[in-house]
Amino acid sequence: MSNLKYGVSLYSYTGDINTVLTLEDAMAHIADIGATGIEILGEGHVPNYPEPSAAWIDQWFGLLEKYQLEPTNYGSWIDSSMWRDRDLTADEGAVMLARDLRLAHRLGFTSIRPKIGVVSMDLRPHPIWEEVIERNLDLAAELNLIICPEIHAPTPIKHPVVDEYIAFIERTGSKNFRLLIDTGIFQRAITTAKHDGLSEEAQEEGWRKPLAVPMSDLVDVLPYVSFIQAKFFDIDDDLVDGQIPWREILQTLKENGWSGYLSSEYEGDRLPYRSIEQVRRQHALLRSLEAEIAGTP
Amino acid sequence: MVLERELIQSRGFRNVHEGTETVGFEIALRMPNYRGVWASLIDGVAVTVDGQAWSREVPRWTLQGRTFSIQELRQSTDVRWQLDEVATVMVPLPGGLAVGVHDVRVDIALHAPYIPAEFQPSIFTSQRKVTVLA
Repeated sequence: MSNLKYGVSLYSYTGDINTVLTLEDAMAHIADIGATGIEILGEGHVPNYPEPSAAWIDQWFGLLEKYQLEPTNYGSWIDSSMWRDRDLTADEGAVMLARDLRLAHRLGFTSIRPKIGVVSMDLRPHPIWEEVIERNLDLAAELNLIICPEIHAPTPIKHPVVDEYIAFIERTGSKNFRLLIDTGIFQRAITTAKHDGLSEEAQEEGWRKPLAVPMSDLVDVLPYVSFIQAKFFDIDDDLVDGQIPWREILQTLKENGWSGYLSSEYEGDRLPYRSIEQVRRQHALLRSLEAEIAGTP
Repeated sequence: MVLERELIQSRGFRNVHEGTETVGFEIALRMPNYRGVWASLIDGVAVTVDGQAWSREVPRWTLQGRTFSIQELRQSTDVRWQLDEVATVMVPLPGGLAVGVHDVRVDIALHAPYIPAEFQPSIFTSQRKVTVLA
């Protein structure tokens, strides 16, 4: 029996958070749409990362209680090329991930997504990834955390990177390593949303090109999927998303009995306050689609 | 305390004095990325004021109360530019800027190891008019 839960990543509020929104404002918005989960980026949303003050941690738990939200996924990074003259070693990477595992656990998270540096245009992770993760599997088990790298455009599901992750799951037999699916891989139509900082060429290559991964590919890996980032760019006044095929995605998840969080990742234009309204529209859309699907004999 | 949404903050734009000399000016910048970063991933900031330009190699950086040249920052291991903290960049300019309104542009260069090397660094541009009071 499929049980879909809805959350929001603070990534959605990029540009607005710390300027027109405080952490509490963001939580109030998430609670107001009836979502139950909050996803954060450790390096983005934890003041004085990686050593938040005790006062901030108290405030974090106080706000979770006040707005009845549960921490879902914690985004972390393994920046494999931190310096110009050398790559990160596996030792350094393992220390980095362990630090984030402990912090994620301390803040109540049950899932952690390490974003690993890449070594090629098709986003192959730096070769230290396997050792870095493997050395942290016991710690993840002890802290009840699932480590899940994200499958993100322009990498589709049928790709050596995903094959390697699945081989790793099967070889280690660990329950603490799974996949995170970013719904941007299902994008069917071009988006004109601007991605700050990236050249036109990089945006064409990575963010605008609709990858249109078929639902059958999702079905194949679904048993390995522990978390879904519900990436989207724009939902119009009629609650139509022109890029991401939500009906098919939800239908696939329901039919295959998948349970877990869909965590909003708004990645459209960064105009002040736009993210707040867009996230509300996405939740209205997802819930009405889920109700429709449930009502279909 | 919230920051201004523009990357260039109006608060903190001022001339820098050493003794009786005015040695340059400084600008407070909000982190343009969606996460904070270890400072070695900063590749510098090019600054233009009223048409006069300084390259990425020139400005000095103050982060978390410590001051660095860009070369030192690229080798650093223990300092961050956080999402909720400004970076103060100091441009040496004998005599500083005239009191009044200036047209300021910054091009902030950051590395993101999860994006292919071919597309590095990301450049974040911001331009606005800001005022020096003294």
